[in-house]
This record gives sequence, structure tokens and C-alpha cells, in this order.
Amino acid sequence: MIRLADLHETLVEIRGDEARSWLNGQLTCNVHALPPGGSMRGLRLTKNGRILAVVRVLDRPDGLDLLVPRDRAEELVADLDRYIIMEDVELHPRFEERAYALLGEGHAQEGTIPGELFGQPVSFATSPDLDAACARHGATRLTDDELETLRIEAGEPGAAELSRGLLPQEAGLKALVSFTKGCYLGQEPVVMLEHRGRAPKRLARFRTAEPTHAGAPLTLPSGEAIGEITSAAGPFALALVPRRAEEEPSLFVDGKRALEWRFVDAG
Amino acid sequence: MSLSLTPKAAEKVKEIRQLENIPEQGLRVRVLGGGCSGFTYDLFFEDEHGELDQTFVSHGVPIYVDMMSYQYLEGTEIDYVEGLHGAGFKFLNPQAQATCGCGSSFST
Repeated sequence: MIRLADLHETLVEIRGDEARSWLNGQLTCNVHALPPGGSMRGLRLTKNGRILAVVRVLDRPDGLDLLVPRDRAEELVADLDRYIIMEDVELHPRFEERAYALLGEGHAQEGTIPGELFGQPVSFATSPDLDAACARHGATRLTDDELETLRIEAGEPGAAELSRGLLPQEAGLKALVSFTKGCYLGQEPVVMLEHRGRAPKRLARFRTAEPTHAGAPLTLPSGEAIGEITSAAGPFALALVPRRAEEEPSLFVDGKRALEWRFVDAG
Repeated sequence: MSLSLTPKAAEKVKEIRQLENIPEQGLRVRVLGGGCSGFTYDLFFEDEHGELDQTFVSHGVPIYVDMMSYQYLEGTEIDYVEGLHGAGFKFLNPQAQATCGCGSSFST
């Protein structure tokens, strides 16, 4: 069965002879390594290395498509546009388009671009009308709750975590950073942290005996508060764990010992 | 306001022109989006300038700047520095609020 997930992302077309080299200097990923007709994820950072948004880059015959979070799309386009000086690059916002992923057997359909979502192979596309896209692909909608559950199980940060101004290493998104491609906005603090420091906190995934909720306290065995749950779905939850607790075998969520916990590094 | 070279930078530019056998070419200076701090400098030699370019002559070296880049470069002095970590042209840009460690990128 094919499922269609609303990614809550929209489309910005990037065109022009220098689109690829310009975008490579704006994102953390190596855009030059994008395979023809393929996709990759990257991060847009502030100049201080903090994550502004997780984005997807899709290779198209006439340029690149950038999928950006819908609720921050205008802000991101304005931010990117500021860094086009004399390059042959044009940004075409297509905010009427809604990005979606097809999951499940048979997801690879004509007009879609292969990629990965929460560790699963998927296909990406956009449409102004997701109901019409469902009909076209013979897919049923994945609910937002189902998508959120997949995200948390996979240990992937979402809006609840990324709104906290995290560095890639703190968010478990180091895999979206190329450390060999050269300069991009925000590179310096990211590389300094990688080679000279340690992240003050890192995203971790917890498995609990009972469902918990965002805002539930996270404590050491001594009872000392060290944070709170940022996202939860069923037996899985996410939280930012401070460095002083990283060697603790047991942490407590909402007063109860977590069955297990580990730092995430979602790719 | 303009864009200029220090005497040492001008001498280095002339030296490179001689080595490359392009003694008449001017220095094209531009700003590109990219680099650790958002904007990066670009320098290369060019035969001629366009109608919309800003043009300067500093210590005998013609300098060409497109209008968009000039917004970010007005008042900049380009020096040439040599030190333990290497040698190169250094931009002293009054509009740069922050510069990355290697000095090739800046933010406004």
C-alpha cells in the first residue's frame, strides 16, 4: 500500500547557470554530490552555526528544487535572496506547491524523486492539491500523527527541537554536514565544535514503559532536573541531554526510569 | 569613497601581472554569496570593464567593480600581508561587521 505524507514543506525553484555552486555555499551539504534526478538533505544555518531549517535539494533537468518548511518559507527565501549578488541565480518561490513523500511498496512513481525519510526509502514530489496527488498515485494519506510517530521513533528532530536554535551536532544532524566541501554560511562554529570542542547538549531518544508527553521532566537518578521531553509518541520520546549527563546509564522521564536512552545522529 | 590598494598590495598586483605576462590588465574585485560569514571576496584580472562598472586607479593599478558588489565594498582598502600562516590579500572593509577566521568571508 502506498501512503502519502504531507511534509509541511513547500517549493522554491533555483535556476541559473550558477545555481549549484551558489547553493553549495549556502547549505551544509555537498550539493555538487547530488546525483542526477536524486535528492539530498542539508541545513541552512545562521552565521553563528545555528540551524534555521532542514531543507531538501532535488535535482531537476533545468535546475534545483529546494523544499523548505512551509511555515518559514518566506523568511528563508528572503534570507537566501540576500546572498545573491551578481551570480547567475534566480529564486522562484512556488508557495502554492505542497511537498509530499510517497512511502511503501510501489512508491517510486513517474515524476517523483527518490530519497529517504526517517530512514525509509521514499519518493518526493509536490502538488498544490494533496487529495488529487493521492488519487493520481493510488495512495492513502498518512496522518500528521502517524508521521510524527515515525519521526520520533527515528530520533529525528522536528520543529519542537529545531526552534531552540541548535547546532547540527546538538540536533543529531551531523550527517547533513559535509566537512570536506569547503565554505558555507555558518561553517566556522560548526567546524570548531567538531574539532576542538564538545556539544553542550545533544538530542537523545528515550524508550519509556508508558507513554509520556512533551514537557515531562527529565531527571538524573538523584532527582536533579536536567531538561524536559521535547516530543513524544507512544513509547518513544526525544529530549536534549546536557553534557554532564552523557555518561549516565539511567535517566528518569516524568519520575520513572527510562527503559533505554541513546543519543541520536539521524542522517 | 572609493576602493583602493595599499602601496604593498599594488606592488604585489604589478608583480603578478608581470609574472603572468598581462601587464595592462586591471583588477576585477567582486563579492559573491557564500563563505563562512555569508559573503566572500573574489579577485581576478580582466582586460576591460563594462559600462556599469565602477572604475578606480590605485597606485597605477586599474580596479573594476560591478555596481552590486560595490554596495558591499565602498571604502574598502585591499592590503597584502605576509605572516607565519601564509600570505595573501587582505580586505579592510568598513562595512564588514564580522569576518571569518581565514578573512576571505564577511557579513554586513
